[in-house]
Amino acid sequence: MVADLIIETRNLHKSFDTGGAVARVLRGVDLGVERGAFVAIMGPSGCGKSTLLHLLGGLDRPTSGEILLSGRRVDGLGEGAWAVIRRREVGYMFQSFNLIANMTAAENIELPALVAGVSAKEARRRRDELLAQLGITSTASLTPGEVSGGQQQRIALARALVNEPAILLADEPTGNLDSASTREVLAMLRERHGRGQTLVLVTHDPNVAAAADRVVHMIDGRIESAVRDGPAPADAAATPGPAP
Amino acid sequence: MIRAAVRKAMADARARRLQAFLLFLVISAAAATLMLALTVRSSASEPFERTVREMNSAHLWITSSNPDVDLNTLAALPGVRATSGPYPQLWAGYSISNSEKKQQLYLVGMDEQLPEVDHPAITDGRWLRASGEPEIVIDRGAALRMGVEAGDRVDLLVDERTVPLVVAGLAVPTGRAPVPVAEEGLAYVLRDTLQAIVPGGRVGSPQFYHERIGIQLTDDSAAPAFLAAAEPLLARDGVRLLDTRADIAADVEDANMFDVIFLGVFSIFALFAAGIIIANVMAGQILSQRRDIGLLKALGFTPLQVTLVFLAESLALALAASIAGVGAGLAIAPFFLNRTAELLGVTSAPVVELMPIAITCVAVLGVVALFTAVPAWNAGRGSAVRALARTGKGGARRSLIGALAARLRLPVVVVLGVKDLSSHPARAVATMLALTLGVITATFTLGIEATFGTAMRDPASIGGAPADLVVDRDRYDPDAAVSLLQSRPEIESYIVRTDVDAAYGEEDIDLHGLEGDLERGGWVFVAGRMIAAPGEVAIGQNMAADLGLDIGDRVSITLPESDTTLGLQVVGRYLELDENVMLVSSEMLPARYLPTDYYINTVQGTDNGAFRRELLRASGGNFDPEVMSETTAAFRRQLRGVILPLNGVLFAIAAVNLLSTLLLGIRESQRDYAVMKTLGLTPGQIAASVFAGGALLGVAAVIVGIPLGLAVTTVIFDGMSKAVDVGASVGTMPSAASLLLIVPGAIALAAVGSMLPARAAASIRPTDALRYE
Repeated sequence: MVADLIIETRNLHKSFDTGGAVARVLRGVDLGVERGAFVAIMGPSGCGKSTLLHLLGGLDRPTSGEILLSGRRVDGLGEGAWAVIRRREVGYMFQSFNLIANMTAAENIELPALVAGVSAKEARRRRDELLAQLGITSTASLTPGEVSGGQQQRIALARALVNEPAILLADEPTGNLDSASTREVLAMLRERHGRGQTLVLVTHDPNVAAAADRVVHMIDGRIESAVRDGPAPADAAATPGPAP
Repeated sequence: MIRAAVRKAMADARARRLQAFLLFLVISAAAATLMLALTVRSSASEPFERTVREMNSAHLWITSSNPDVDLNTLAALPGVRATSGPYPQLWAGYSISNSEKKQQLYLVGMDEQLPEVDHPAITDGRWLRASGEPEIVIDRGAALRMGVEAGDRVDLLVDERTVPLVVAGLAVPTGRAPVPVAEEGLAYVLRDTLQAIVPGGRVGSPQFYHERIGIQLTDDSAAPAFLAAAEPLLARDGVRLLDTRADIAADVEDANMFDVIFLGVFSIFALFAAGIIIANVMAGQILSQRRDIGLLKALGFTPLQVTLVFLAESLALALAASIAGVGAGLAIAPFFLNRTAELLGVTSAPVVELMPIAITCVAVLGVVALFTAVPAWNAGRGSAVRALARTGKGGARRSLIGALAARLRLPVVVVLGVKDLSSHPARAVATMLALTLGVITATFTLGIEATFGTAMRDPASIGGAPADLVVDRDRYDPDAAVSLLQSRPEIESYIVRTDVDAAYGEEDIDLHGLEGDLERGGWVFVAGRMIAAPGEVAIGQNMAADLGLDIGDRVSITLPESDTTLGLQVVGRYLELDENVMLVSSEMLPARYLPTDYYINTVQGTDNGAFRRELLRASGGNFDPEVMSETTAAFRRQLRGVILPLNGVLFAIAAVNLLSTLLLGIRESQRDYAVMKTLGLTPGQIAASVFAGGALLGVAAVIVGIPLGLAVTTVIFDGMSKAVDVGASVGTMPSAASLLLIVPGAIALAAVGSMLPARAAASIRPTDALRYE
């Protein structure tokens, strides 16, 4: 059976010029993520896991190699085309939430929908639904500075999901949270995964990684191993990608 | 401490080169404008002073038409160092003509040898020689106006004759301001030539044959003693003090009056706009350096020392910018002084005086110090821990305008731009104010343009002559003049004017006797109406105010030359540029007074310039016609040369202000922009949101600026009307249609100011901006 890969990278390389010296951050990453999978990427600081996530979301360009989303080559796309992909197919979560400070929770959540051309009425409907699902309806009219860290990350999750993206990329989403908030956010991510959401999460925390059904370990810009760590859905798999 | 402050300042300047450069430019522009205003003001008479030194000028001039008076006796009075003359002078306004143009001149008869004291300053050609054809040396300003050069031939129009003369040279006259500061110029011929022009002429003869003498005093302070001693002679019939050097200097300075007014107003605007930028940029810098401030405090700096660090930093920049601005102001000043210098045939060099430089530097440094010290002191007093913990609360404010924009269903990029601006409302308001100054300036400039438009269409509305052309009859026979005017199909209507020297009590009056269809004359009445019958008089508004005359008053006017007294009733007050003018029916005047001028309105579509030349030709050079719109157009060209560059300076300052504000905002919000990119905004959308913010400020500036501009324009017009003493405010407010042009202009200015910030925002890389994730 041919796996339904929603994300696929082939021999992905990324180097940075740091004042004359070249830092090779990714050194040939082959990764395949099947539709509906929950994949955690772990590894020590500087191993390239965040860079990999940036490349998957089009926030940066690979030095070489290929990226395919739902079977389509996207590594050569321009910024405008990537922006369209991000507003429709990819949701992003950050360690420090990165909510827009002068917008209320409701406005933050609606923003990607409005950018994607959804009507204001539909954006409000989606927002209210997500606020209710995530239990943060009471924060709707508050600005990020007026809510707790856990609530901020839930708002960030709602914002990432408002366009119903096929892929949710999360970079250390619990890194700035206390343990109670971490549990809450993880429960929500699992719940979304349970509904078939593809999740790729970067973390340092083994407890967080344990929530994933696949854990990819990276060292020195390479994938060292892919371990089935948690309860896998029947149709999900995460493996080192197919040979280039 | 000082070393630490210097080191920090140097580090900041290195880190924010663009910002420091922009700040430097803006402060320099403000300093240059202020310096320019002060220099032009203090140097307006500088070219004249130099010419006065070259002439070895007299301090005052006295004339006599009394043959029994010996002006030479003045040389023996106290305070007199030397005298020049007496020389014969004809006060009859003879004209020279070169077929294109005509210029009235008073002739002075002099010797082949120029006197050592009080001699005309030759700027072109040479002085008069006795051999060869009769020669003339003409007032330089008059020659420039006519396009006459040394070596040209001109016709001197004397009564019924034409005397051909060779122009030996051009000169700046003594004892009289040059044309066009004075309307009629001086011209010099040899005494023998003068005698040939008016055979049998002598002091007191009917050709207004006077003698004049120039008195050079030991110094200016000797004038009162001299005048007291000369009093008995000055009291005699036909003797009068003609002019003083100080009065002529004041007249020449007045030629720059509008420049000084405009430069003064604009320099205040520019300084204010620069103050806003400094406040914006320094407050922004301090906000973005809260962490540094926390560090400084952690290192042991007191709030005062923190303030001093920032003050030292901004004052060092401001001092350098002030020096550059002062230099630029001095360098540009000659362009503004050129008009006078050109008239006097000298090069213009501004007077470098300590006071204007000191005022400029103190004003600029004071504004910079104020706008730096306040935010720095506030920041210095804050908690070091909080400052170290975060870079400030900037941007956390909820945006009500943003919410309103969203509610109005504006495009999402517009909403984002609005929200971003409104997260720093004080800064946005300050930037809007700088743009508002640009809008006020533009409104004022449109008002000036509208006023010129009105003046060219209808000169009487600003107190000018109520006609398309004013034709001086000069020496043309009155009957021949009327036949010529009646034969011309270009003329729709004309009014005949007869000027008479008259007196109202002690006050000298220019009495204008009018004949014709006065209703078509177009005089603008402030109160009452135009004269309709003999026995009525209309008076200039300025004169009415000065003499306390009003409608219904009865006045008694004497005509000294004909020993006549007219009893008149005031029926109207009208706008009048000239002082002490009264209008009466010509029927009131004794028959000995002949018509002097004709107010001509031409039929629509007439080329008035061509018609002027045609009248000059058809009258055999006897008429002296002037097209009012040509005179106004020349003045407009002169003022545009001042106002348009000043507009440019203020617009540039406004654009730089917007640019620096947006750049600051983008620097502070780069994470937000990066996040927006991760949410799917394209670079184009990010740039559009920055443009939207700039455009919003532009629109807000228009909404606030146009009413303010109209108010400022009214105030300035009132001031200018007072300065020219028309008697009422004569400015025309800009039309609604022209004001509408400011909207796209302001948005375009906002777009220019937003261009660089928009590019900067669009090129933010999320991976860099969010690096510490």
